[in-house]
Amino acid sequence: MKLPGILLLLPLVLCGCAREVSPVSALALDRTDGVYRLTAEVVRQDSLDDAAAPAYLSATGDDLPALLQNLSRVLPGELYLSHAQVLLISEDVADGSILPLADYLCAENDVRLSLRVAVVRDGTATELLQNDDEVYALSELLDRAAEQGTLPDMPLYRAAEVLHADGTAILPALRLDEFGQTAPAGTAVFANERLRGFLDGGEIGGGVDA
Amino acid sequence: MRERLFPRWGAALFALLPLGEVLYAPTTGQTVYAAALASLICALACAGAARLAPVWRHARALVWLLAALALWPISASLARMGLFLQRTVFPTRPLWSLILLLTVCTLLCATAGLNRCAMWALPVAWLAGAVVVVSGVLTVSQWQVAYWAAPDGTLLHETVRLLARLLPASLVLALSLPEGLSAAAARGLSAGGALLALLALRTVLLLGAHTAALLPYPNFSAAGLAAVGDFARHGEAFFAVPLLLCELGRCAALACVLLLPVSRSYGVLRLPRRAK
Amino acid sequence: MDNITFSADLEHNIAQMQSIFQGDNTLVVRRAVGHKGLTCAVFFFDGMVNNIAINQSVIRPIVCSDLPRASADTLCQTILQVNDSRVETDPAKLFAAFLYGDTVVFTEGDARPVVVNTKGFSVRSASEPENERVLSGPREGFTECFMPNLALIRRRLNDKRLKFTFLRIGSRTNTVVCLCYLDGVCESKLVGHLRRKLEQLDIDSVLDANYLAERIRDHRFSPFPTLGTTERPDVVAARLVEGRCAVVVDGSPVVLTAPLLFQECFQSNDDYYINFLHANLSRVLRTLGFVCTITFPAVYVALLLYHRELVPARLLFAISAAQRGVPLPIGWETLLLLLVLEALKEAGARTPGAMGQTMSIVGGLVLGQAAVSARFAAAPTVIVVAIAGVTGLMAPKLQTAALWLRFALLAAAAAYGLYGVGLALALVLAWLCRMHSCSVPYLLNFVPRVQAEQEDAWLRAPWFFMRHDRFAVKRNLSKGDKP
Repeated sequence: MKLPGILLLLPLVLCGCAREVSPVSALALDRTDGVYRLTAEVVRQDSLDDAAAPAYLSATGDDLPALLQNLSRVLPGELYLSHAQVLLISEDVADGSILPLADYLCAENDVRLSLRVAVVRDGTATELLQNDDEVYALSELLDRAAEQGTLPDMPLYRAAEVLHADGTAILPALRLDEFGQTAPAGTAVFANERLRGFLDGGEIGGGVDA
Repeated sequence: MRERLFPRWGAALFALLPLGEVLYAPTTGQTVYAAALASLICALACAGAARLAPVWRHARALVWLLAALALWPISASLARMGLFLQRTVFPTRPLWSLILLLTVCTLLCATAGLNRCAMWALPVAWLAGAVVVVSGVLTVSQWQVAYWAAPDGTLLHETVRLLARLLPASLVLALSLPEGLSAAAARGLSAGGALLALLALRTVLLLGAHTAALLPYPNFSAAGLAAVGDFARHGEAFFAVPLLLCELGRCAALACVLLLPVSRSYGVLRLPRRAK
Repeated sequence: MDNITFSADLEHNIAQMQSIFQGDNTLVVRRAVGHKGLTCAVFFFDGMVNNIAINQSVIRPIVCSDLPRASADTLCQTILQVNDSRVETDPAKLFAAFLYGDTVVFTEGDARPVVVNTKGFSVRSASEPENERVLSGPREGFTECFMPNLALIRRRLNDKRLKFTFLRIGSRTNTVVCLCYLDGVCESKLVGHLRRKLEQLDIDSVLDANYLAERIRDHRFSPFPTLGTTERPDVVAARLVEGRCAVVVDGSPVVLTAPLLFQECFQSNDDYYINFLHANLSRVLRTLGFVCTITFPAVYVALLLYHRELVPARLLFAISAAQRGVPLPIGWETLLLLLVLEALKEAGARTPGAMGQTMSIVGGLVLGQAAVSARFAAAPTVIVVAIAGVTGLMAPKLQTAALWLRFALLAAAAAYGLYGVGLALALVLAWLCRMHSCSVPYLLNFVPRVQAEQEDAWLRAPWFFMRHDRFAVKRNLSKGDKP
């Protein structure tokens, strides 16, 4: 009976310790002077009684793989994108082709295909990301707006499909309103994989606040 | 009770063959038709081959030939299973260790003999079928009918590609059956093929052909979009485990064919005992 | 003892008996002399006999006899006033009966002893077995006493085809074992198979049914049971009616039944005495409970080690927070807590009465809470292990299997995540597929066209749908099955 016992325990030795991870709930991508800046909202909860609180870490780089690599260096644990639900991109980023970005995120094993991508109007994506202290507030806002039809329901996999099909796509747009709150800001329209402009809610038959 | 391979078990065993392809099948607009067509061709070929099986297995040279032919699909299956595990969940583990693990599991299942492997296939096929159906149903609301594509010229190419994966294993198994189970083989392959086609349809309607082309395992990734509330989002593993078991069952059955010239039995493999 | 011979001289016989049992102070030798000169010697063991029966039916008739001499036959037929007495010339049988509470009587002038049935040792009442309680239904249970156990079975099966075949096993204990079956209902092959296995046993003692069970069962190293055990006569009767065999062992309240199928491990006695809707729900829960107890800790470890993307985000944050500061990796932590759970169960089971309950409460509640507060273990892990422990009690017949599988799956999960769990379960299924109990496939449900057995398998059909020949081994599968 010794052998089965040893065989049973061996895998537990093999597994070692669980890796310490830094779960990311949302990402923001900006571009200034040709350099990309990626900001991650990392969730931290120290005890069962505390609420989950966000912490923001940024890295710069030339493309998304480099950004993610640089970001993982500054994180205390392993960069963990599986729980990321929102990617905010600034207008500057959207002005360039977003197809490589969509392709890279689709092919990345950890990233959810249901990740929601939104364009930030009149400001940087990092600013908007850091505006709200509550974790997943942005994704809940986008989900609710998509359900109500006030913003387009365009998760990553669908955006990639339409961009590949004919290069046109619509993405939800967000902005900080006059009270400093995050608010829906209509629809970002892409043609030839680049941002061409924004439509208000009335023009696409959506809700009143767009 | 006499050792025998019941038709229901035989059908389940053959249903594992197309189900084992689900994880690896690339998904284009034509895969739906290609899967149905390839399964149909396999079903017809295996129905004929199963009729030959009682005659075939009396010739010793032919049994050895089948065993040799079984080596290729087993090796291919083990390799792609190992690669799948490495790419999706164990990127730091060496490929050989994963293949070794799968080989050990295959051989352990194969020692039960072809009859019991077919018995084993019954619950596994039902489980895999149920998981595939549930996964499909949970994503119905996200389907985009506009992604559907009519058959075109690439259908033939897709069908040949699927046949190349499906037919060798099916024929080897059909020719090695202990009983003439042609109807069961055809039934199993048709049912498994129908599920494969439906799942390919689900993936195309959900992701679209372009997004699916970006993914190494599109059916697997599409399953991640099926969620119950906040639970099992990104739940591809729940979907993949039964399908991986289908392929393991296929490998085990083929390993039984491989061992057949030595064991000369469809029942439980018994090693000769050492004299005390 | 086979070489012992008795003579016509009473004093010689007394001396011989005393020499055989020299050093045994429970042996009682009583000389009884009739008023006309009939001289007998009565031998019995104190505490094993019914004293009233010996006084009134053996001693008194001898003392009051008006015969000067009597042969063993005369003693047996005309003097002793008991319902069961015989002249026994086979020393082996004589001593077997004598050691089991019968009285031996020698008479002057006859070398042949008379054996009188005066068994009278104290026995437990046929109370309801502690581990097989039912909400409604019969409440009798077997005791350690052999013949009353057989009577409990016969009382429920008034059928002339009911057979009780006795065997003696154990060179030291010489224990009586009874093979029970319904002739014509139970396959003769099955009876022959079991009888052969029992007769071939070469052991010195049989003190409980498990001494035999581990020796005669198929797949002796499997944690899954392949022989049924019960302490209830109604269960034995039901299994006999279904065409199974039962083995009753003297001195044990546990009766073995064969063959046993996997699905029976999820059946309970209550299932047949309560409404079928309720019974079926309970059966489904029991099956789910077994699946839960073996997979829950493994899936928990797999999710946290390899598949964190599957855990809802907020739950993952909470679990991560709870894990912070715990010194052991999650796999080892779960293993350790499972071992603590087993230790608590063992301590609770071995500790007498109220103290056992106190131990469980102290162990379960106080220790668990303290372990979490001290960051010795994370609260979610304690919850997972507790759920595994509670659901493990739902299928008591599979406790051994659950114990081993829990650890095996945990190891598989720690090494290969959910894929490891899946592969390990597939191997278990493959093992179950190749198992059999007395030549009947352990997973008989997977054999097609055995509709009769399906009526009482994973679910129970209502009584008005069930046929009387539910058990499938009777059917000739090789002929009856059609594609």
